[in-house]
Amino acid sequence: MTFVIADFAVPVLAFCGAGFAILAYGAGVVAYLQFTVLGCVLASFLLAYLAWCRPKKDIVALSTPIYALIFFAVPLADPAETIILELLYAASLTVLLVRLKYRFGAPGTAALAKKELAGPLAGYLDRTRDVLQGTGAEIAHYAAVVVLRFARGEYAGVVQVAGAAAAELKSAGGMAVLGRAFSIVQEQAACFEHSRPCPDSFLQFLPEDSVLLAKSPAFGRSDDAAYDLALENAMLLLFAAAWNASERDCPQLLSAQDLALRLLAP
Amino acid sequence: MKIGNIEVKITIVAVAVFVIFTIFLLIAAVFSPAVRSQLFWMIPGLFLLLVIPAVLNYMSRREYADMAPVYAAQAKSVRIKLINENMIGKPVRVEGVVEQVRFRFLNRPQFVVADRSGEIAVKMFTSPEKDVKKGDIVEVLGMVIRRYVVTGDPVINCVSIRNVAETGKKR
Repeated sequence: MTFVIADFAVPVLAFCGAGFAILAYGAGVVAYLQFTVLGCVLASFLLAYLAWCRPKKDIVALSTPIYALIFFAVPLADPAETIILELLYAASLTVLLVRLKYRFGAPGTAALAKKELAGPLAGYLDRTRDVLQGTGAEIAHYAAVVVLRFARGEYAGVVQVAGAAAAELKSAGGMAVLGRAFSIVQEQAACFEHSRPCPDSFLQFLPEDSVLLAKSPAFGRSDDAAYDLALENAMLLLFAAAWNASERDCPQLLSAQDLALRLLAP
Repeated sequence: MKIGNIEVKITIVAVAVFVIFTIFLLIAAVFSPAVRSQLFWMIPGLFLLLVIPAVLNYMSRREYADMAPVYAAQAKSVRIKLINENMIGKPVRVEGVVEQVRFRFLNRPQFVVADRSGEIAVKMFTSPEKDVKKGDIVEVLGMVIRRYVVTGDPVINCVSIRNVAETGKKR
């Protein structure tokens, strides 16, 4: 809601400034004309803020306050030139706002990314909460470590921890689906570590695991897409297990949310 | 032009600047005796407009050529989808198809490279060793950085981009 108001405020502020300039010029009070440029200056800062809040940054919108200061820092001698400059500037800001909205996505996600879970990921974690809350604290912590190391590209460490977790789950008789997730991540992290291509045969989830998986698995297929999908489901399942059963790791897991959202995307 | 084993490339912009200033200088020299008397330093100065970009390109290309083997040894092969904010500063190797090439004329090419998992911007601050065109299947070596140094989505600061056919890798 705040962002919607801010979206409208950009052209409103800019054109109101130009409108007041026209009124002041018409009323013959040109001495106050220089204050009407504040509308454009404030609108520029607001547009830059809206650009800053988006995950994908628009360098043009971000730099508008600099242009506002360059254009309006020194008042023009001719009132008519000031009005034309304000109108053109307000029109430019409106065009940039439309460009920002259509080419640089929705605002807000960047500002909140490190503080709370984004919608689609939160939905998946809620869906799996009841089952995964039973994960032991130690296994959940292993899952968190695997997710965080994988996000940082520390694949050798991932292979080690995922292997230990899979062995622990097997000996303790824990959830088999988590064991498969650890093994899938371990196998694929080893491939990344040694820059190996997709193997001909690889680990995958079983049909009975599908209720806990974020994406529909490709059972019976053994192509590159199935290989990728197995890793995405495994990583998201480990993220969910860590989030739902290891409260102390939640703040760190938020830093890996960017990766989880990428994996969750189609 | 080749110096040692480094292919030096001068941008079309540098050539255009050289040509424009040469024309200005010729016109000025024809009409002004004062300019004619200064030609002894103006003509070498004119050539510096070509020499300086060439030297800078040679230096950056040599630097990148030295770094490429280090990256080749350290970088891990990743899928583009897995490149995220936590990997900022990490050397990576990606393989994909070049979907876009921009700013090649500035010797600062920016590629959009896609694999089956997604696409990513690949920025290079010098010209690549061999020309890379849209549609080429390439291997990129580089470091994950933010698009605008301190902010923006992760992109690859490219040290080496080569056609997979040239790397001799089996796909």
